[in-house]
Amino acid sequence: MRWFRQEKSRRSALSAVSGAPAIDMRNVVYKRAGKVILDGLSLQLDERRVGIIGDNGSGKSTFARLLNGLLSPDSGTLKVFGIDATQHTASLPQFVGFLFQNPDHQILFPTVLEELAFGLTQLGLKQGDAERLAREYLRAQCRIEWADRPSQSLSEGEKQRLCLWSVLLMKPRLLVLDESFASLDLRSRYDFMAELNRQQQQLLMITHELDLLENFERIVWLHKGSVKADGDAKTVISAYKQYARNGL
Amino acid sequence: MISLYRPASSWLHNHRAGHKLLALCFVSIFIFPLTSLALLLSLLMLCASMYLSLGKDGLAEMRVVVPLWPWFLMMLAFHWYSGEPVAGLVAVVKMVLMILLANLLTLSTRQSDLLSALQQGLTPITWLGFSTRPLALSVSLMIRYIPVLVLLLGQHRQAWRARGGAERRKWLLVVPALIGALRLADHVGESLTARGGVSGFR
Amino acid sequence: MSNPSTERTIAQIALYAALIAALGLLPKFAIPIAGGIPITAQSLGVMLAGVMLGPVRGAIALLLFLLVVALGLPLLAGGRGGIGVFMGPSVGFLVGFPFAAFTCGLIMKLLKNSPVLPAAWFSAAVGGIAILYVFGIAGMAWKMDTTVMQAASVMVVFLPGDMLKVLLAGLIAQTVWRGMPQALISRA
Ligand SMILES: Nc1ncnc2c1ncn2[C@@H]1O[C@H](COP(=O)(O)OP(=O)(O)OP(=O)(O)O)[C@@H](O)[C@H]1O
Ligand SMILES: [Mg+2]
Repeated sequence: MRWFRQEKSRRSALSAVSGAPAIDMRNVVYKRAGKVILDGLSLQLDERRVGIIGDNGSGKSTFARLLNGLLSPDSGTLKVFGIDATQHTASLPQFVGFLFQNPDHQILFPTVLEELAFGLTQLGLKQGDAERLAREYLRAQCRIEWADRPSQSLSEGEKQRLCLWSVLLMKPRLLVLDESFASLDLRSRYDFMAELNRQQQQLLMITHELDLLENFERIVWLHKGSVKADGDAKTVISAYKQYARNGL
Repeated sequence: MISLYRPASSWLHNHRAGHKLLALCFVSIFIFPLTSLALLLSLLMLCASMYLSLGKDGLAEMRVVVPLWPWFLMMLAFHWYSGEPVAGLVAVVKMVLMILLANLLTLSTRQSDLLSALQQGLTPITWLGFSTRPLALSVSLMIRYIPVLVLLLGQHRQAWRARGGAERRKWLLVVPALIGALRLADHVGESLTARGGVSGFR
Repeated sequence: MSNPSTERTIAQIALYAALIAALGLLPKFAIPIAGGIPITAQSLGVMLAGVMLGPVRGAIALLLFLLVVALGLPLLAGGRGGIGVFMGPSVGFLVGFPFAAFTCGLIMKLLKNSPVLPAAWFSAAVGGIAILYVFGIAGMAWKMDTTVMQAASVMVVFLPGDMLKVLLAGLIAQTVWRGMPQALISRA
């Protein structure tokens, strides 16, 4: 139980540095099992919507996990909203919300209401207040009838939506999506994308579905742990498509 | 998730979970040393009338002791054999009484209320700087993932049969479930961390 | 399973507790032998929790399982649950679950350098039979108001099934070890 006190002290309140870019990454190297997975990445990202594309195993998920402290770089500096990510890994999730690929890995509570309320209690709200706010949120989404449903009884698309809402309720400044669409049908994908576009959060989205990135402000193409191309959607996507068809 | 709680509005449902829990403790301590069959039987009648007072299906809730009949038979037989049949009867009635009383608590108390009562009971440890949050969180996580693991076990069974796996060696199916549970734990742990971890941001 | 964090540990414990429950909920996993007495996979889960997770996590997983049973979920094999199960004749076994898992894990850890199969067999036998029976028999003698010998005689019918479970626990641990060694946390 000693860890609990340690955790508390590690999570001393932090506030984002105003005006700092969302992501400021310099020469970041990440190794795992003797293999270099991210090879000296340097990126400053502050556009509202950023897409990350690249082959399987190119390091996209690793990159995303650095942003909210699930992983720490081996060398280089990484600042998220001006906060040193290597020092304050435990505080990062306050600013960076994460949506995983599989909702079954993300939903932690037996009922919808508990799942939504959890994030709010994480921010310091009392259980009762959190549940009341969560109920209001559900009502605003016209889904109040979900409140007491077992989370396991939702369909895949509904589950993914629940995941999104429980992250959004915590009001992160940046939302990271790591192939969060894999289990959705085409229509749900477009619905979901529209919902994301209505939010004011900054968005960093990893996907193999290039269509969804069409009107993003910036696309980064990762290849074998480094940046292969970086720029506006049209240029980078067509370069990537060209590569996918013909090789380098 | 199915629960043994029976939603209803009886006088017993309206009592606070912590009080019911304490009452059960005291009653158990009181009943434990009793050896008078007459007294135990009258307590059993009293207990039955409590079931009756719960509503029209109240008495039927007493069926929880029925599956234990082989045990009761065995107890009677053992005591008969040692030449004290009354002691056997006392032991059986006492056990039935205790189970029925405990069951009253279970069927009239929501599990979340019981858990918060427990957390309240643990308040002294929070003065020492410990938290009861990991406890409540683990309970939620466990309940949440039971259906997921049932599904996981089922899926592997199907894959096993589809590939012509022998029924005789179906215990091997536990292997992917064990590994799957740990893989899942990695993801769940990550997901928990990504939302502020066990202690949150307070 | 490198990078151990509190969150991951809690998840491992909760998921193993859930797995023990899931094994008890699946009626088809009952192995119907040993003189007609159905043997459920649940107590196999007790042995495996210790053998796989190690002493501390294994024992906590069983404590969590018992807590949720006490809270009123019918998770014991046969659909039993609630505080009433702690008033019945098998209370000794329930109380013994965490100790059994702890023993399995401890022996597994002490035998770190011997081959998995015999180590798992030995620890499952000591934890899942010897220790569990001590608790179970004491509980029966107390609750049924019989002598220890009388209570112990009841266990004769369960022994063959439990020995089979020890056998399976060893084989399962061995198979996991070959397929994914890091899943055997008691050895990490
Ligand atoms: N724990 C680990 N141990 C060893 N190698 C790892 C580990 N985690 C990731 N890797 C390796 O790092 C590389 C990048 O992995 P990552 O998951 O970041 O790829 P990705 O771009 O997300 O791929 P995908 O499109 O398939 O999701 C892969 O080659 C992978 O095998
Ligand atoms: Mg990935």
